[in-house]
Amino acid sequence: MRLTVNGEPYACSEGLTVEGLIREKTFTFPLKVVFVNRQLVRKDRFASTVLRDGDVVEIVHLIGGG
Amino acid sequence: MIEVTIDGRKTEVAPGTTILAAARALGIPIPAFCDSPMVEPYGACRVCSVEVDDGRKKRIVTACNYPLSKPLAVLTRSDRALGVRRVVLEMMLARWPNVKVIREAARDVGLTEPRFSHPKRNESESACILCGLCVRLCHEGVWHRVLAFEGRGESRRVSMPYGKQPPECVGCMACANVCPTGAIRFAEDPNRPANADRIRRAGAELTREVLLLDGSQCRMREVGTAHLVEIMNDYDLLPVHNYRFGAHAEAHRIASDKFKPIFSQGIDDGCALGCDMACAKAVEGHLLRTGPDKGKRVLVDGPEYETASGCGSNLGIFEPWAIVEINYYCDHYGLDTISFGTLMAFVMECFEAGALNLERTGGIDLRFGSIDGTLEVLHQMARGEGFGKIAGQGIRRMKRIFAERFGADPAFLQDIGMEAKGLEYSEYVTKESLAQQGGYGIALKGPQHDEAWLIFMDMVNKQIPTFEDKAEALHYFPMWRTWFGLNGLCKLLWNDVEPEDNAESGAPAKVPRHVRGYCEFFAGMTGKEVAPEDLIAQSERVYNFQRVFNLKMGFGRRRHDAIPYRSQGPVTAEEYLSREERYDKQLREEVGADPATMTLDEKRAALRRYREDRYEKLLDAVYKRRGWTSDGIPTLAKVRSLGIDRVEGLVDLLRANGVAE
Ligand code: SF4
Ligand code: SF4
Ligand code: FES
Repeated sequence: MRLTVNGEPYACSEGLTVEGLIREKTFTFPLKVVFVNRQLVRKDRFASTVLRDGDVVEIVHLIGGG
Repeated sequence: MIEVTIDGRKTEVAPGTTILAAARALGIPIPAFCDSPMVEPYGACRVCSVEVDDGRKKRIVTACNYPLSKPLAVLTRSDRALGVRRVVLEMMLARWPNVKVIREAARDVGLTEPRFSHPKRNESESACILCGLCVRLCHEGVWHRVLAFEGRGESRRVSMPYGKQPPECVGCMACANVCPTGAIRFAEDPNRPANADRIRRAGAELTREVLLLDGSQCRMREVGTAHLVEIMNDYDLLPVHNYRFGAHAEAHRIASDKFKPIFSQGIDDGCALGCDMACAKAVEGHLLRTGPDKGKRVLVDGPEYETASGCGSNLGIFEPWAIVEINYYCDHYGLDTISFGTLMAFVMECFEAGALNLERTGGIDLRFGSIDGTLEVLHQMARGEGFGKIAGQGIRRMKRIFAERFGADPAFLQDIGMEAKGLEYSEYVTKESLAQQGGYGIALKGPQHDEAWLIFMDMVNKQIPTFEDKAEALHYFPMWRTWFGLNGLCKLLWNDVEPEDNAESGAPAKVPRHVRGYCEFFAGMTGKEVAPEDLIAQSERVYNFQRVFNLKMGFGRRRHDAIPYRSQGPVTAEEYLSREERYDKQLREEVGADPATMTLDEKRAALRRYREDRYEKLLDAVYKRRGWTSDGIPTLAKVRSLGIDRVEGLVDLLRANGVAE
């Protein structure tokens, strides 16, 4: 299926969860805010939120540097 | 997960969860006087007594420090549990009859007056009930050892050494905030703030966040900024071999888990006494292998991320001991580890590219990864001898020296020498973040990231796609960050710990709750009410004044904001090929070229034209947003609106530099 992740097209397999996507993208920085179709997904729902074809995902890293 | 039943309600918890936490998650109240999530459980007051039944026998335990490890039934209000609680509370009520938390918990078990009188009866509503929370928080949380219990039995009490406030007490108020009775109050603050309580409340909120959240966020208390090594490597941002690449297969050898065991843990911050975040780490007992102190064991302040990457990966060095040793000698000699790391990376690339050789370095092998060579140059630098005397002059002068004396190609040196305005770059690869190229290039004192750090916003989150978006970020963040400097505050507490509800704040990158906290701090200190915009305005005046000062000193025009191409894109063929897919994609999608039909040299040249042009467009957008001329100088209208036109000679200086009405 096809997603949009941070503004760019992203192809992935069916059934991918938010947590799985974060792993695939090696987004290892801990402070992140995730929106799927503009809806906030809380951290404790990353593993249970399954993405669907066409979803627009924003993974906002909150890192501001020293 | 373990299945437990609390008052007949089933729930699943992770092993190790306390009964108290599990009950609270279900909304079942259990009184608890000596418990706080900010400190280790203690089990002192016993009011949290509950009855547990593991199927074989029933017994009374304290809920706050009983970790669940197997299926269990918990009864929080069985006759036995309430009986124990009643005994405990009656004792307390007799001794401290007017303390609110005690009265409430006592009423809950049917007690209003004790049946006996206590010899140490204390009528105060804010009596100390000896829960120990303050003592433990001061030790475990603030990492101070100011408070202690003194005396035994009935004469036990909380005290400070010799009964007075020692200098180690930083007045953080963590103890007063955690106190369930209000027994701790603060005397007058010697700094005479307009309203000390407002400052302390704002500070206490940060303390709470750091103690509760840092462990699962940035782990600044454990590893300081060193956690960034692995993060930057994962995102292709870690400088490797003079910023040629953003990741290295051996980066794990200098990751934070290698530094954590050698960092002293659980002690005061090395940078600001009493800072809860305490990210300034130290290595104790490092055995020096080189230099004048060889053989001695020393204390080393650091290394931080910039040192680990600048004197590590950027030099191809992946040995923690070597990084610690370089850190020590830089401090010892009064050198900056960032400038040293970055200039050595330049030297090493020159060595590998043939601009330097053994003859020119006086026999020192300076290929990437050379630990001995790096340390030798460092020691020579301090002594003002040999090749160290040349390297110690920094990249800007080395570029000239290498071209004049060694016949090196000045254009190549300009491309790979990571300096601007004469200052060496700090340790991030910015090739894929135009906004950060600007953040470095426009920064008043040269390419350091103290003003703006926008790499993730720009490159990963893609939150600031247009030139205008980037210019806005390059207005807001440098102004906001300047404000910390104006007030002598550290920025890390602003965004290296994040409140629980930050995601819902509407502007999470700005951490609005913390910005409001800083307004509180400012108002508490000065007595002047301020809103977030006011803080930006304060900075803008100073920032623009500094830009004009730069102009006066010969550094404040557009040409001074130029940056080396290494920070914008791939200088060498090898660099291009290492991320060929990425660069080809940009040529195809943004430049409109067809990389399949181009030679490598053509592709490099086309990409370079495109990227350099975008940098110029960025400068245009930023200057416009800031109210500057296209030459990067504040306009007369701007300095007037900020009120800095009153500075003697300022307007004349602008006019002399071609700024017209
Ligand atoms: S104010 Fe802070 S440092 Fe001082 S005693 Fe209380 S917790 Fe400790
Ligand atoms: S002063 Fe407050 S926090 Fe400290 S032991 Fe007494 S009641 Fe507890
Ligand atoms: S809260 Fe459990 S013993 Fe005090």
